[in-house]
Amino acid sequence: MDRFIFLVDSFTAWVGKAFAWCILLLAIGVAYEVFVRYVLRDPTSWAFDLSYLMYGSLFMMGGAYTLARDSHVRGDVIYRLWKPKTQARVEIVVYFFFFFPGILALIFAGADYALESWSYNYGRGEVSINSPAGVPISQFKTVLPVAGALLFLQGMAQVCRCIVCLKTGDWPAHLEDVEEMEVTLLQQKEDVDAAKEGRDARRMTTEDRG
Amino acid sequence: MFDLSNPEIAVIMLGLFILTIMLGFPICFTLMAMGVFFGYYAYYDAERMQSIFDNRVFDLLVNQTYSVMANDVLVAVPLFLFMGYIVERANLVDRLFSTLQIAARRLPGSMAVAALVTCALFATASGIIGAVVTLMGLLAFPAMLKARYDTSFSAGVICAGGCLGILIPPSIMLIVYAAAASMSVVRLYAGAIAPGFMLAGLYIIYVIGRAWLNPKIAPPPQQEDIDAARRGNIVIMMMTSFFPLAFLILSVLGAILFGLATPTEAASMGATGGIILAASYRIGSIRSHDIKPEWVDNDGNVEPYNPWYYAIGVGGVATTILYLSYYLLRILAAWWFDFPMPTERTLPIAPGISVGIAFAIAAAVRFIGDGAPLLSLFRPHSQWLRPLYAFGGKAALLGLGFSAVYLFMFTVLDLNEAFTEHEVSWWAFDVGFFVALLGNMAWRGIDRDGLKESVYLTVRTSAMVCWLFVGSWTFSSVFSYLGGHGLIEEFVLGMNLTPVMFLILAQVIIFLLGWPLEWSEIIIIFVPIFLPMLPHFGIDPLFFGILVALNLQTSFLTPPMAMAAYYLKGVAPPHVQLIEIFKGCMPFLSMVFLAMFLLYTFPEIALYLPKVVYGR
Repeated sequence: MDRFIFLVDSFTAWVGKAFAWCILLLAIGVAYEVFVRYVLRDPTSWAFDLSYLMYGSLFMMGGAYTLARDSHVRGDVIYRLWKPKTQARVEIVVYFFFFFPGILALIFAGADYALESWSYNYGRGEVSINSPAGVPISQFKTVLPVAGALLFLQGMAQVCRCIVCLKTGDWPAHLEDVEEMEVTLLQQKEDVDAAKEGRDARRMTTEDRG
Repeated sequence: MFDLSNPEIAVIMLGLFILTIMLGFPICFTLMAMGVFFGYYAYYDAERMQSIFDNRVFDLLVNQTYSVMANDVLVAVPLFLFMGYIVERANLVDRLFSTLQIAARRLPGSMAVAALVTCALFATASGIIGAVVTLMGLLAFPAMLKARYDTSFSAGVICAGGCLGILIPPSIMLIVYAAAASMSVVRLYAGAIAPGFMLAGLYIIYVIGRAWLNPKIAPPPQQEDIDAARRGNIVIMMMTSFFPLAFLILSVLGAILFGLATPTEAASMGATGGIILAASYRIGSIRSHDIKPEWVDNDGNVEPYNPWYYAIGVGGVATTILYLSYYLLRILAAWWFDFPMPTERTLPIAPGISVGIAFAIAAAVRFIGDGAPLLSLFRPHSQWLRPLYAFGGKAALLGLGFSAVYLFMFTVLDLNEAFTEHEVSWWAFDVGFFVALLGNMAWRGIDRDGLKESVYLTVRTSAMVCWLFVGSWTFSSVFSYLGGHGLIEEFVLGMNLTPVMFLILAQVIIFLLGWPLEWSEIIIIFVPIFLPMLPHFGIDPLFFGILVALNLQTSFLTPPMAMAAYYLKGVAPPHVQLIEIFKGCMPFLSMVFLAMFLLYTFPEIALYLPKVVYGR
């Protein structure tokens, strides 16, 4: 089971990180548009389409990666007071009631939506209506069910995580990953203090999960 | 099933949702599932049912998701986040703080003022409160305590200053509000500027006033510190720390407000500018031998490099600088003397010439030496930087090779029938040469780990915000289809409130929600409930948005979920008590309330600038 969690985590992280680089294309592409518009007086016809294609794929494909790192926002006022076992017990039930149905709806309805889009233009796929450049957007609509499927996969891994937690009484660790600067700094500070006092560094519960 | 009318179902839906928030499950998925469940009931149509999937709620879900994916307002969110993470990781804060501290040395409470301005500027550029508070907590807080500043006073300064970033534009929170309220980001930014600076001004006035009245809590700097500082040239320090960051923020903001660029375009300019800023800081640090790049070994010796590549790198950079100065002169001439901008749509000279100039300079560098009078202007002045130019030169030759292959394919193999003239162009040589040169120099010059971290954090944070929109839009369309908004509206209107009472009620509710929830949830989920009621009371949504933005400052400062205070506590010296930090935040909280009161009494503070700039 640990192996399954690990495999799914690394897979979704890989996809999420690969699509994360869209941000660089987005920033440079749109900055290029501004440059050629004002300095060379020669605007592009594709920059607007590029902007939302990159942004949409970025955040949709990053959804599962975000779930794996527990970065989706939650109202954890009460949640954080519970023991890990109680957290896992509640979470496993909620996954089946409030996660999988919505995600399944997204996958199936999204697949219909994408297939319809691919059937336009005599099967050549839909193009954007925003400019004469004819930027294809069927692949963009395909992102929708694919992102749903990734989330479904990650959801199964999260359920496994809950099961492991129910067995051992503690949340399994996450893959090593980059953290927000405040988390890193707090962690460093804690480690230094711990080293000074000669005890083991004890992680905060939220960071174990984050 | 049960004998309930649709609006009653909607209220049950809302109640059930608030209940499940408390379970601590990621909210976006709860919203989405709730929307699907209740939507299935709401759109249930026995005649359409061929199978159990024939329900319009699925179309609704997909269409709402797609409208978030293709939303041209929200595109700016990841871009501003990216810019923030880049700036955050560029190691600017310590330089900024020490400079401002010296610049403000004559004011009472100089360190507090410097900390406040640093926090505000840095938070505005990065928009990430936690990072600002922890960084300043490690850097400025111990310095202030060492200078015998009062503990809770210093703590309050840092917490309050860090939170200003979500209010002063360009802020991500206002973009999210604009998307949730379908308003113009530009007008919202114009409206938020004056209140943002007003709040920052109130903070500064409070700090100076308190330090002046009670010098014990903020002793003036020691004489020897001042003398030591004077030796460093303060103007140069300001030029290298304060102004670039301020320029970045102001140019992003100015481009948006004067309509030169959409918020998305300005944000991508900002992100690109942030990368350039970070790269130039790193290159500057390499130049002054503060950072050891990977091509320098432990003894400080530079890796060997090819002198030809180096010469080409210098030539390319020199040509780029010449071109940039040409355009700068052209723009200045157009500005001051009405000298017309070029009407032709390309560079002023024929294709290939600029590569030729670069090679000519390179030949001069190689045969005369880079110390010659004119050439020494462009050469790197540090031994550690020389390989960087060689990397650039090598890449530029490679770029030239690629463009030759590209042109060969089109002209010699005669493929240009299938392409327009625009796509086959002799400019390919120039593009290949300069893009490869500058791109590789930037790639080598930038802190690649920092860039990678920024990219990965950007995807996580933007997924967090945007998935919340996916869930929320699905949920709220089902909610209003069932008549939930109507019911709430009826209920509130039935209370016979005056506009003032309604405004106070709404702000109190948002204030209370700020205790357990974060700003993203409040703005995306709860604020839209109030928005349809605003016209009944004649309240401008812009005005309401600014009030909410001010109000949400408090959510970071009030217990029990005062994130700013907890971050500071986490990095502060152990003897600092949490209660002292809270005590320090209280005066700043009252400043926020004073700002809200002022804004309410004189709405023109927020409404004047949009009116002047956009006429309404």
